[in-house]
Amino acid sequence: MEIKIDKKIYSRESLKKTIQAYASLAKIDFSEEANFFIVKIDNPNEEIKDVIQDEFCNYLLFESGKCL
Amino acid sequence: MKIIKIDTNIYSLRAIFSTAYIFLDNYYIFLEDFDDDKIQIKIKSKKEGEDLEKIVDEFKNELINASLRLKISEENKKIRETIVTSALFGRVEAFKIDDPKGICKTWEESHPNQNVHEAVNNEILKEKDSSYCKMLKCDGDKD
Repeated sequence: MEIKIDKKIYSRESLKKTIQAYASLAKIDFSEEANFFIVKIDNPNEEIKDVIQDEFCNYLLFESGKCL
Repeated sequence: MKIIKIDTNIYSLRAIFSTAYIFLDNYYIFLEDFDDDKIQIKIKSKKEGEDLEKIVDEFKNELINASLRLKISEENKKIRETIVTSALFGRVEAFKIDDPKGICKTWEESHPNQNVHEAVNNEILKEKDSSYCKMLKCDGDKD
């Protein structure tokens, strides 16, 4: 699964913290485009595969809110 | 899933984040740039089958709350900082008055090189030698 994250909304620092927090739950790849961060989440645990993307986004929002 | 489009000319990104934060416990929220001046908010319930129409309205109301809170906080920033600074220094700088004769100064401030006890003793001794005291003493002796 792939998430496109807008650079104008979410900060790099908060994304970094989110990836660190979720690194133990799935394989996470990070790349960058001009206006977006691209996060690919692969091989998540079976129990959390349905929610990991949404939970990742919530965590990212939480971290970004702290950075403002 | 419900989508709300918010104009960033009206509501700041900070207000949007503050509002979204309140809903994080029960909803999945993701923000996307929709247009130059608009942000698209995707809201998804963590519980299946929940009617999100009410939540969208609550989100919008909360957004107004957050914006107002931020505006008031911004307006009161200076006075808040003054109060905290004054509290830290133990006095209220804002109420400092013009005092050319030094009336508001404490004794220690107006006599920096004098010990207060010595000064009091000297004053008492001066009083003893004053003509007023002598007069009283004389009167007393007569009685």
